Amino acid sequence: MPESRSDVLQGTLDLMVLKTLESMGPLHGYGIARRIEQVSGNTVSLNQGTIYPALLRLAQRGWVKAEWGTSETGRRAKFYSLTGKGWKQIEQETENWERVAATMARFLAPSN
Amino acid sequence: MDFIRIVFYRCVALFRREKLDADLDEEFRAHIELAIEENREQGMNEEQARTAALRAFGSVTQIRESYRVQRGLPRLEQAARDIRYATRRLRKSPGFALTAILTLALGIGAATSVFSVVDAVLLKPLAFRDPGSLVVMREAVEETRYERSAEPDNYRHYLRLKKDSKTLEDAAIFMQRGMSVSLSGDHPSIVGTVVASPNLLRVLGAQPMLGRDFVDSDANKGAAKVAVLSYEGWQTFFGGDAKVVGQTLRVGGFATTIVGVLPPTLRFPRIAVGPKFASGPPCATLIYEPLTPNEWDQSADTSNFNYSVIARLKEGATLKQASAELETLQNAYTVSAHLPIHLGIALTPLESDVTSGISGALWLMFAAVGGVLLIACVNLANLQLARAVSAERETTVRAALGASKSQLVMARLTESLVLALVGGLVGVALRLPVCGFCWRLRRRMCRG
Repeated sequence: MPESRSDVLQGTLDLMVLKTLESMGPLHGYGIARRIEQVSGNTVSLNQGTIYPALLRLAQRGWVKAEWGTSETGRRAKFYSLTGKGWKQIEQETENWERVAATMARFLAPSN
Repeated sequence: MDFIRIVFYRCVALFRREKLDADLDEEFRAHIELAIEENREQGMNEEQARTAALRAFGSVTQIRESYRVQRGLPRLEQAARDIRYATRRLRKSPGFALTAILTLALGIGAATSVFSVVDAVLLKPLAFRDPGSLVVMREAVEETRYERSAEPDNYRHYLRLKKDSKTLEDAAIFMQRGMSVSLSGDHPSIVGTVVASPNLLRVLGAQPMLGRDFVDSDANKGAAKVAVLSYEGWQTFFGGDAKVVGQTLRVGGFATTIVGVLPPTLRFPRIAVGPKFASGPPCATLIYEPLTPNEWDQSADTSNFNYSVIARLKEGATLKQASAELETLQNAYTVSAHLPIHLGIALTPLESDVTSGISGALWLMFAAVGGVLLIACVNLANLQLARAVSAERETTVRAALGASKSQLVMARLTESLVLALVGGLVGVALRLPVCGFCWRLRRRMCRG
């Protein structure tokens, strides 16, 4: 296990899921989990199962919706997709994150 | 908005638990199978693929649990479990449960019964307009003051005081007495009546809910006999008939036309004619009649102290000012009319006058039942303590199985809560027959 893997911060997972759905379109839970692992380059230690409570939370807030469908291999699976509210949320969360990241970057920059 | 939505979502989930659980299992299965397929494509054998897929997924039980917490209302579900558990435990020891419930029920029943009476009599006795400015006016006679502090009112004195006073807004004179009443030839019964000057209801600030109030001409000599019924009287004699106005009732032997019905909130209090005058049982007033003064009323000055008077103070006037003014008027009249007796006045606020004879006893009774309730509570607390000690082993087992401290405490508290709830309900239910008994007792005293 590489040392640089870190736990997922609460709240970051939400944005990861939303961004994944934004770029991939409707996707089942497994697909979302795999995509997050790939994009993060396996630096995020994520029990794939934890994606489900997160998806439920997003569904309760009305940012994603779920529908049963069929996977590319013919398996019945639940597919998640963004709602209109979800699209708006992405914008807002992205802004927040950029601000936080920029602030942190300023602190982490080598002092002159 | 979001909050309501989420709560709604969660509440709905509570009722579809089984379906949603099945859904979730299906979803997890799909997840694992998709993972196995991918792993196999990467060259693992069946078993390796499955193991890797399960490891990547994480603890299924744990995730399912946190999913459920997110999905439903975990606190509510926990509380429901606690209640089920508490009722099961109580059913297992019916002796204890019955003792506890009865103890509580008796304590609460006694307390609520007495409180109902205290509330009705002491806390909200009079449903009149601004009852604080109503006073009971009695006369005082210097010559009898060593014997009693006040006398009933004389009709002539009442008329004069009402006319001359500047501190009284209005005053009504009346007499409370039992009269024989019958409904067209039925067997007559004796009921409480108030015979009053036509302005009585106006002084009290009350209005009939059906028909009309008395007008001054109703009291004229030779006027048609009319009466206003109290709500109770309306129910007793006419069974609440909406067309009661215009019907007749025999009151004291005379056919009397009903002209109005009072609202149920208006209960005329029993006003003692004076201190040291025996007054009858507290019979409800069912009928109001206008008082037509007879010759004696209009002429007697030193006798005929037969009435009670309720007066309303003018806005801003105090009891003390009114007392002083009326006393002066009485003294002046004594002198100008060359009376052989010396007149004075005695005013008391209506509210304290009505409750004066009973308030002390009632408060004492209230304190007594309060003490009983307290003792019941202490006994119950002891019983519960003994039970908690004897259930120590069970508590230990639960703790060992992973129950949190708050869950253990809540389990015990829920048991007490269930006991309290059932005991309280039975207690409140007990109040009804007790109050009903008091009510019947009062009626019997009035009729008999």
